[in-house]
Amino acid sequence: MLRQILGIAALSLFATAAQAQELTVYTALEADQVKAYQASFEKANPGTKVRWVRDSTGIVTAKLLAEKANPQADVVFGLAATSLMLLDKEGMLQAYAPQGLDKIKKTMRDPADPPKWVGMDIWASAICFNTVEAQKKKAATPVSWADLTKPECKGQIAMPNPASSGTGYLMVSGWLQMMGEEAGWKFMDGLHQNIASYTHSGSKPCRQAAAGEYVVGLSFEYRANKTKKDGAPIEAILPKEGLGWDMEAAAITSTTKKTDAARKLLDWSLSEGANKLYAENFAIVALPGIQAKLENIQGDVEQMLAKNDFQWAAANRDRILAEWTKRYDGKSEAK
Amino acid sequence: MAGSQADQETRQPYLVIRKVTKQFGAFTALREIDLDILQGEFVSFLGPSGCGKTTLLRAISGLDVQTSGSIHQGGRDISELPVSERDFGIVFQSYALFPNLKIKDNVGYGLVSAGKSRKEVAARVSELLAMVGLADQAEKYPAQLSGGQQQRISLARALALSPGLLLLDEPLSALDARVRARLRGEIRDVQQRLGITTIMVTHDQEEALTMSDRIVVMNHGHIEQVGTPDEIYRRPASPFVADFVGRMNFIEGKLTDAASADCRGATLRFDTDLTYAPGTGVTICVRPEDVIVRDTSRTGNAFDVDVGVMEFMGNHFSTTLHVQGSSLSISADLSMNDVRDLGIKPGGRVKAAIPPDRLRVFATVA
Amino acid sequence: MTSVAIDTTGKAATVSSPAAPVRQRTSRDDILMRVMLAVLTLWLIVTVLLPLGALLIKAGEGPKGEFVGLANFVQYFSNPALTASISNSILIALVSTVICVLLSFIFAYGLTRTCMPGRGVFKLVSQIPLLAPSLLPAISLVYLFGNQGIAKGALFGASIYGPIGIVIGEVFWTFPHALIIMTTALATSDARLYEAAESLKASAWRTFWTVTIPGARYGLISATFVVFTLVITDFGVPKVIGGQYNVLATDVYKQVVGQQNFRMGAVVGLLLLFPAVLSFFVDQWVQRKQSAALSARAVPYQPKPDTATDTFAFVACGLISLIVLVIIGMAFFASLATLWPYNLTPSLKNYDFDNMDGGGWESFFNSLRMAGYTAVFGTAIVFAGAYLVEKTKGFSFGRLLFQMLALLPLAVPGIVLGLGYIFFFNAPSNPFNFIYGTMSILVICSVAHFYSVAHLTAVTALKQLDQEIETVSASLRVAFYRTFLRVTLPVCLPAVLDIAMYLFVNALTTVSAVVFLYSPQTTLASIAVLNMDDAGDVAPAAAMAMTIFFAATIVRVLYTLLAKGALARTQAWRHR
Repeated sequence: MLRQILGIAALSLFATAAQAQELTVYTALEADQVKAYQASFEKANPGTKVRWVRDSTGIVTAKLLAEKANPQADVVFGLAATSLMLLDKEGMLQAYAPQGLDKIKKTMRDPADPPKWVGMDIWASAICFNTVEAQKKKAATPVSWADLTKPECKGQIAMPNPASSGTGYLMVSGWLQMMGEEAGWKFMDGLHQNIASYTHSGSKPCRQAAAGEYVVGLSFEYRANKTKKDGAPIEAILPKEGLGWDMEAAAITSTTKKTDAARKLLDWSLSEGANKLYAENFAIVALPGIQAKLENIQGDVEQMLAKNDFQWAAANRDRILAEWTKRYDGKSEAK
Repeated sequence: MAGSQADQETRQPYLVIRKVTKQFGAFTALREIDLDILQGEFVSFLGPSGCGKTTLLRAISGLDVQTSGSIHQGGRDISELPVSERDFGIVFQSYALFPNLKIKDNVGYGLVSAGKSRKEVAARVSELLAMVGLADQAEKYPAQLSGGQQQRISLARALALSPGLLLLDEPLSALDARVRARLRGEIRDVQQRLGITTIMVTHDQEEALTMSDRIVVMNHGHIEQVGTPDEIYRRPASPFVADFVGRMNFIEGKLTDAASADCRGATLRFDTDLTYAPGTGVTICVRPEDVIVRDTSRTGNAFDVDVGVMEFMGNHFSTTLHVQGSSLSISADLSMNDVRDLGIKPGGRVKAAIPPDRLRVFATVA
Repeated sequence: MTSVAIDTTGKAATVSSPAAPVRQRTSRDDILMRVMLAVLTLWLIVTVLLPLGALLIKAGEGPKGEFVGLANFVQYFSNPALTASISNSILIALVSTVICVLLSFIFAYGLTRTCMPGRGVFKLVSQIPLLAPSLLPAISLVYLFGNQGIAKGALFGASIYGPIGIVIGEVFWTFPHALIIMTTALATSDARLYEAAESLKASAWRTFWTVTIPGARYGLISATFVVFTLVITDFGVPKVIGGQYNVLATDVYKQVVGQQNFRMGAVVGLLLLFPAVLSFFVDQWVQRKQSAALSARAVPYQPKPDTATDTFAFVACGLISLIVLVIIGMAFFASLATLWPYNLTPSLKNYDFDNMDGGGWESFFNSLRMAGYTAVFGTAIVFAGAYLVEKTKGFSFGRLLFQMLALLPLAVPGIVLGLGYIFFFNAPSNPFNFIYGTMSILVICSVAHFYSVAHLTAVTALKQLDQEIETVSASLRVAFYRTFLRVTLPVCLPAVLDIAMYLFVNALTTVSAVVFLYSPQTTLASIAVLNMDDAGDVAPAAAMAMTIFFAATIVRVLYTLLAKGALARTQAWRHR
């Protein structure tokens, strides 16, 4: 029996030892994206391995804040810039100017020099619209956000909860900035009447629309594109008022003990190879000139991006989420 | 207090128990027990359940060590020794055979651990199996044997290491009557052949009487009497022993003089003078089989009696006799011959005597 | 020769100074056993008691770790959005309990008291839910009754997302647990009572209410509390199908994982401890009553054929079994569909876990490893503990303490235990901190979580063994561990394998405790189900749940074969 206890102890030691060569990377990237990124990075940097801690934006942010006393992450990679700015305010990020910093778009990095975070790509809201179910229900294809508040959409819309989902937050922040606060909340009051479910993840509404669970799923363009490609009977719609958006960005934590390895990951993120991979998923990436149109998205995403003040979105995040939770949380999915 | 047969006196006591007391919380299970057991003796602890006989056995084996007092075995103080450092073999009512081991492995269990060679173990096992008459069962599992066979295996296993002391804890209680009677003889036989000092706990007086050299009768945590089966039966030292061993008439009376008492209008005489004042209450004990109906004039205490209920018991009649001119009734075991020859039948009249030398008289506890 | 003995009433008591009490020298065996028992006691203290203590402390802490008394509770109870969950939880648990106990009673009655055909098959089917995580029925319900569900009409427009879905899912998941209790309660009734009732010409109906129900009342009470506790502390089902209907268990998860508000999580966790502890004590009480009520002379009841009863039981059990099979079958079917509901061509696309949330196939293999370790180490620890607590001589305080600690996990919901583990093992000052985030903590937590039932199984098996075997061995001067290895362990092998099986299946399917403890290196299949469902990958979630189910089934079948083969050989002595 003693042997068994020692066995467990040995087991744990072994598990700790195996971690040594690995970077612990917190991310809110989609599970189907990280594999390609990891393979490319690890190929370019043999000897450094990536261990992902993946969850939705809100949860990764909350986790990082909660672990402030006993931090686990070495790098935060693929998290909303608004969230990274929040972490920066808490002094949790360290400045680093990755190789190739001068090549990327000026707008897609922390203005500080050297920057605390660097952008990777931009993701924007989109509507997944199930054409089969719409036909059954004789529902018209929405072309604007305002269309979604029409009574015929009642109980047919799923939307991500902004408190947990980065996609959800960029929508809310986008509406408030496009429409102004008062009109924005009024729009959401109307939308709330038609919402069937607020989901935990930004992808779930699109997948639910794809499965016909609801007709309309508020999601983002990568997921819309991908889901349609997988054969779902959906249209990806970019509402004409404009798209809420956020930037996926990367940063090194101030507490990492593996600074060298962490810097390699940021260097890689600014490389052409990395940006080409980003471009397979997103219309707009950090490096100019690598622009790919997503095959299933009609319209020019970059043109349609709404005016977005990151500073404002980050500074007001807590206030907006509190207000949102107060107004609508009853319909939220557990989590 | 020990029996005083001449051959026993020359032997050294093998087990010496002194002032052994066992408390379970406020309950005293054993009160200052003193007892000597001689080498090679077969001693039974007899008594009703809760009398302390099992507690005493557990103290001797070390399973439940006494609260105070000492136990010496073969000159060695074993009072504080753990079970594994004592020297005994034990047989339980439940056999406690290892169910997953073959008979030979059960018997050889202690031998293997003692570091004996495979050959030695095999030889000793067949010797032991032969001794209990089960040489052909070596390859079987316990569940394949009858209860009596299992108990014999259990005995063989207990004897394997040739212990100095054999402890039998109600060894026959789980068996049916026929097997029990046969095994009584076999166990006694093996014990005599090996000359091993043996203690048996039992609540069955017949078992104790037939198997033992000496019987220790216990009640309420103390020893009532120690003696040979004959002594215990014929001369019980207390009303309790008289009552517990065999059947007994208990006759209440008052002393009229030093050697007679008035019992419900009948006067019973007995042989020895008592030093109590007349009028002292006494209990007079007589065994039913000691009441006689022939040659009544040769002993004292002869009465004319009315014959009451007669129960046929197979080899005798258990009969109630009412002494004429008194309210004294006693039960008597009358032999078939007596009943036939004297024509005794219920409602009849006959002469009966209660021989004075068969009476045990105890002053009634006030 | 006459000798008259006189009982001289007051036998002079020898007045002597009280003799020095005898203390038995402890043998090497005794010392070894006590040390080992002490080590295992320490193990339970560290893996059960201290984490719970850490949870308690956390619930009384402020944001900076200062002691704030009941302030967190005050804050909790002043938030109506949170306290609404209390009544939701109680309502759900009550309704599920009533339905589940009723169904399990009918089913158990059919199995034990009738001569309906197919009892073996029914018994087998009824145990199926044990082999799947509680998420599986919930996912299946989405496919059955969701907006695209094939049986959506059966709900008459009501939504499956919410109380209806939770109740159905919970009844499915708790059914086998209640059934085991009810079967035991009904199987152990005394036939003589029925013969007496019959001879008194009582009607079948009257006999049912005056003999059957009173005879099964402890089973009913026990099943009621067990199911109530399971439901109120389960979060798998409400998480998947609860929609906007919040319950306590999902609140814990929401507070801890969603908002990283550990203090509030601790508060809700403590609330969950109440029903579980209450249920624990009721169960203990029932156990005592039940064993007292069962006389050794009871004659087992033998059902006689009765066309009406048998037909009714067959139909009822058939329906229940059918529902179980449909729920499992639906999840399997959905997991094979290329794109539900538009393209039902079978494909294995949904089993391509590596491109999805939850850690991919690695999670599945992690789960197998975790369940394997839990079975191996857990069985060793549990059986050794049960043996030592049963066989160690003296040391009564240590044994009592161990016995209490061994039963404690029965009163602790998994989600509460998991939370306690975060607080205890993740504290930087804890010397065991290094196991945080490893496979070890998952194994240790799972062993602790499922300790009690395994322990009780082991104790029961040990009690069936002749208690004098150890005495005989000691008198033959054989060391206890030899007898343990040579006799006790082989004789208890069936129970040991049962325990291993129980631990394996539970570790494979559990979500509740480990959901707080897995790390990116140790993602688990059951949690992958949760995360995939969260991300909207419902079909792959169903696929992973089915993968777990199949793995558990295969292991179960292998175990049965093993039991038939190897056990038959090693247990040859059982046959006459």
